[in-house]
Amino acid sequence: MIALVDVNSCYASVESVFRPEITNRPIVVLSNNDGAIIAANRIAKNLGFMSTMCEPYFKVADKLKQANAVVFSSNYVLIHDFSRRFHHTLFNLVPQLETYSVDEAFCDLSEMDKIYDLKLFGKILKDEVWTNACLPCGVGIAKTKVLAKVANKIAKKMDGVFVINEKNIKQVLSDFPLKDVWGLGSASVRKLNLLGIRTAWDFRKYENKDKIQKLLTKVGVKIWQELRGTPCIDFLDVEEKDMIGNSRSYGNDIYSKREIAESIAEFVTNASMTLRKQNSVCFGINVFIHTNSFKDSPQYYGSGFRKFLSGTSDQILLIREAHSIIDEIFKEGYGYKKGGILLSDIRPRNEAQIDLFSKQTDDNEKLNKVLDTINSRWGKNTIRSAACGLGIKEWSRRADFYSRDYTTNWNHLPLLRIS
Amino acid sequence: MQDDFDYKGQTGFQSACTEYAQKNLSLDELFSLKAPNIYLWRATGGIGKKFHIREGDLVIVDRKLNKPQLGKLYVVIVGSEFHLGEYVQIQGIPFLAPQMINLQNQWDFQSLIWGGIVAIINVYTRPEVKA
Repeated sequence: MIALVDVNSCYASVESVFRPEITNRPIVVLSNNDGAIIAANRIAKNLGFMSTMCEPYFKVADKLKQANAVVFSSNYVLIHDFSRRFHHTLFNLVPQLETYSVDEAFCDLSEMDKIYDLKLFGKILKDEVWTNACLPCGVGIAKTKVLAKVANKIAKKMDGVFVINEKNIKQVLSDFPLKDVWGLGSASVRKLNLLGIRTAWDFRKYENKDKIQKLLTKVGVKIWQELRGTPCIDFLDVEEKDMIGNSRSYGNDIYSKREIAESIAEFVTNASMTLRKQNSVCFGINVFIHTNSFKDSPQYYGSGFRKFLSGTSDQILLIREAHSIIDEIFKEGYGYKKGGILLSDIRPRNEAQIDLFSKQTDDNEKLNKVLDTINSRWGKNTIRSAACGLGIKEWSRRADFYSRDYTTNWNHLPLLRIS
Repeated sequence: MQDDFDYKGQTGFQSACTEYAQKNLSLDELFSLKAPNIYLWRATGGIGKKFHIREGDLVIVDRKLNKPQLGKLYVVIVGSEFHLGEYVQIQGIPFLAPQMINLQNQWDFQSLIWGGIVAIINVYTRPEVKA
């Protein structure tokens, strides 16, 4: 059996750990640069005027104020520390753990159903996470990952723990809409609807495997088999990313080419570090910049692409290529709001074929290794390319509602009153 | 990071006590500072005479210490603040002192308590900390 544990409104929940007085108020958390709402607690969601996440903040700022909501900028430092506590707690309790994201983890409970009442064990997981990490979470337990996701959705509507077993599976899946099944996009749902498949149970019952393969490819077949109780999304079978992106909205609109180039260099630095960490190389890079589409000012969207004959993870080469794209796509006179890069066609370093006729080689491999070692030991950005710029950047992130780094900074520790 | 100074005498021979080397004592380890249930707090607001706590002292808090135990210290949630409280009994009635929160009819001790106090470090010379 597999358990999926995930934290309820994680970004909002961590903000109330040291603010007991706000737990009964609406809480929303904004994206980088305070642009959009990316998380909200239950009370804020129930206000009803944020139809989806990613609502631009300025559109609902007044309404939030009226509702006495508390607004926070994303505090990744705080999130990271609580995420550590969350995963560490689970790690101590289960045989095998796969940290799926900041606030989600799959736990392998093989053989445990023979020893424990799974519902009870789920409750223990939930209580321990609350005790250690001060975070509320939901636990879904079932035979496969896709089913555990279903169980988790149901758990959130109940007392926080739900187990799918042979007895309740028909009822559960018959009430479960297809669009909420993990991995099925709206296009897939439409295709299945045409076959008369409406619920997760309909899909599970459907017998024609070839048809599924044809309509939804291999991925669809995997989901179908998982719904039928056959695990086929492997444990710890973490896919290597086939694209690595890094992008950001700027705090203020940027007009100068130098600043754009600096920001792009930093994005390349971050992405290429991830690339080297997974010991891969990329064969292409995309760079894009665009203006603020919410503003009533001239709009421009520029993007460019470079393909490499042999794979590379060399930061210096990648920055050089990215800058040559900027030379092509940058137009004077526009206020740029967002920029980003995407490394694509990523393959493992040892598989990447070397082009005999290319002059371009990954000859900075040693330099990159030294860079990574120093930066991982002394902190990000200890050494970086001068192309990223020196000094204070106008484009660096905006965070007007930043809380405190309660657990990682000596000057921000929570205060205990003595009297 | 290199924590230990590796002693080799000028002769090139290792010191005779090398094989008796032990790990350095570590406060992190003693108080399990890396455990998911341990948090650091800072004391503020004057002098708590009884427990010799002073402004600026460090307080190590364990979220797992959430059961009432006579004479133990707790982080107590009081409105929007957190206060230091001791679990006491007066004529058989349980209280959190000095706030004198009566716990007799409190079925839920845990909703009042954020965590239990493991240690208080009296800081006499505050180490400089980068802002």
